[in-house]
Amino acid sequence: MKAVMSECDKASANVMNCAEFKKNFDLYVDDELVVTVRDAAAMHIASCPACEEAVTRFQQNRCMLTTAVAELAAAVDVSGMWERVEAALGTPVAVAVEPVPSRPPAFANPAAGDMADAASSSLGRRLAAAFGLRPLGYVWRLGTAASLSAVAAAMLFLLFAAPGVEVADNSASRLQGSWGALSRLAANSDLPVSGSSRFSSRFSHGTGSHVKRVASRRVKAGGFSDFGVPVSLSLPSKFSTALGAQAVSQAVRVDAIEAGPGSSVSTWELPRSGGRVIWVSSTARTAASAEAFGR
Amino acid sequence: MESDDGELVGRAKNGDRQAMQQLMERYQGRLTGVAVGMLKNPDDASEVVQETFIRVFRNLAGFKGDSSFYTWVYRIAVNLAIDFKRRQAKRPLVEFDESLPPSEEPIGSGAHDLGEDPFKRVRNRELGRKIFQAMDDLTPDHRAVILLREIDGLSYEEISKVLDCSMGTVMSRLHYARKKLQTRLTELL
Repeated sequence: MKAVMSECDKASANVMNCAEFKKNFDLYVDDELVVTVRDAAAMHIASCPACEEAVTRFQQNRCMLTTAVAELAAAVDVSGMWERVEAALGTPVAVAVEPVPSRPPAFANPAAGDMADAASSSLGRRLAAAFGLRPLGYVWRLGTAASLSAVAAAMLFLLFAAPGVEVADNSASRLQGSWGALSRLAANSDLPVSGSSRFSSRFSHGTGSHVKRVASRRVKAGGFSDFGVPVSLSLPSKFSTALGAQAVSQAVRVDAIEAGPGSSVSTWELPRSGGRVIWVSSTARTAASAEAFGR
Repeated sequence: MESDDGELVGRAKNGDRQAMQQLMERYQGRLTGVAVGMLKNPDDASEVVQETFIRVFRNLAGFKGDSSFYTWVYRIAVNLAIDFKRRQAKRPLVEFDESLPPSEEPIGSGAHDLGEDPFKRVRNRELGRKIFQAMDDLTPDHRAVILLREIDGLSYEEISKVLDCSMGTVMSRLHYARKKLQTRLTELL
């Protein structure tokens, strides 16, 4: 419906006084009157300085409002928004952990570590929240050590106490198998350790003789396990195939991990096991998570 | 030739990311105007617009097409902005006037190109501050209705669909909001 028939019916449309014009003011300035009434209103303001003044003042205010909003809207940074939206649409994050006796690999990731605190804290909270533990803000602000402890505690809880966690049939190691189970569990409980994230990675075999780069490939519940050198890579078979006939859990060396648009990568060590967690996440999701817990 | 919403929505429902991106680019600017008018803060507005599209695409399967796509998108955006505003009101922080800082230009504002009359620029900025000051006195519902009308030019019927209320309510809210805005601006200017 384009126009609204006001209280002025057609009979009185040709003659309009100030009172009637005031009743129709909003409809007039919004161009929602039927033609006959609109014409009558226009005729009225042409002969009534007071009503004309009211319309002019209204138009000035309207102009100021639109200008003010337009100026502020121009300051809104929308760059990269699609990348963030797209990253949020796929469930982000691929996480894995493995007990490691020796040094961590040389991750050629400039952002590595920057997000460690936030990411580990977020993961700990999500893990705890998934099993009904309340996210107490002050607990989580105790710093990186406390956050990492929380992650380790949540992992132990998942490994040994959480009901329904099955140990995967994976001979590489019990912990690795359990993380596989955790990934499946997480896939059903919206935990950040499951799902997919778009990022590009470069992997090579232990000798470094074969380098295969996979750009912007979607990885589902990928797990990276650090045995020192070489590094054990645990990935779904289809992704392993894409890497160049790599079997799941076959030892490879991870030379570099890069975040694609809208995603970031960080790593951190688990103090007790010496395991290393690789965290791939969308910045949008991580930010949302941090806010949700009042960081 | 530019695809219409229906075609893009159909493709987006099938997971076509390119179609989603086109839909987002089509409505991003318009939603930004409403969001920034509601929230007065460019960063908050950006967050709300982004969250809007995330929700839109996540829930696209549930969009039956009973209303137009843009009406549906607007409804999500306005509801998010209203929720955001209400959450802000519940946890009032020490708020500075972030809308148009006196010593800084809004980044990327085309109106602030070199060569513009500096006096006009200062005057516009001052006017803008007063406009938003006056808008602050409106409730989120009243603010939404006036922005949808004045900034986006939606008809009463479209606004009623976005806000899920009757046209009478739209007209009533619009009248009240304008009257209050007029009174406040008369005091401020």
